[in-house]
Amino acid sequence: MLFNESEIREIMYQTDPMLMLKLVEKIDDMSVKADINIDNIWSKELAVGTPIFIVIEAMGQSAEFMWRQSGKTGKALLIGINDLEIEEIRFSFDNVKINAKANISYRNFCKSNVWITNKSGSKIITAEIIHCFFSS
Amino acid sequence: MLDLESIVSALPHRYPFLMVDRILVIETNKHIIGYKNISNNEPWVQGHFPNQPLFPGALIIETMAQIGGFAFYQESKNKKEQLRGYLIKVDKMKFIGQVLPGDRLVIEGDVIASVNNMAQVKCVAKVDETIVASGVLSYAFQ
Repeated sequence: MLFNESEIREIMYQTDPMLMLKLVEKIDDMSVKADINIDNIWSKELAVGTPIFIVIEAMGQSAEFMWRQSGKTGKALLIGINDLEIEEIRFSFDNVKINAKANISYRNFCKSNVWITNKSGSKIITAEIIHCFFSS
Repeated sequence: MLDLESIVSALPHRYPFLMVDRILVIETNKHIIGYKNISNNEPWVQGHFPNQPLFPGALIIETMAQIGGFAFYQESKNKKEQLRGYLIKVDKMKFIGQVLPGDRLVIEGDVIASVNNMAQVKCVAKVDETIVASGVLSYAFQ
């Protein structure tokens, strides 16, 4: 099942320039694949390659989107990151996919395994990301 | 102390990615303290979240990474060769407090390992002396 940008906007709390997903494919309730899209303001100056902030934010949003598909609601806050490993940081967003898979959840705490693959399918960035969903 | 002019000549980052306003303490290869003032007119404010701005955790890491890299700053070096470091790993990162517009985000970093062109820095982020985030960042330097 595919979600386009306007459908993603309906589901997520973030708006421009912080919403960084443009297409999400729901594989099942526990995994998604996503394409990155960034607002023009972030592409003005990319002097040192892809800013890690954008990569982490987009990975976190992919995981958050996945948990919302499995029923989590409210505002999601990033509360932890473990083992974020970066093999490659200079890439075009058109050439990569974010993969997010549920690891474990307990009450409103949700742990995900998230990784970015390049065109050939190799993992170039991996991380374990933990969110907490707060009802508003 | 390093002012903005010195920071800009050491780092390749520019608006909207420059996340360092001042470096207060540098003990090269040992310890670093610097800060970023969080303003309500920064690009992220509109989108994270609408009408309830909360400085994103991903930007706290970006701020830690930029300030943490100054632990390896050497004033005598050619400025063009300064701080060409790349973040290669983030671990044990915990976000335990909120950072809001008007806050001063102070980053304190301690070098916990340094071998050849690789280094690890344990960073703590504070607002008003209260810890809001902590984690270990690993760098590779060219």
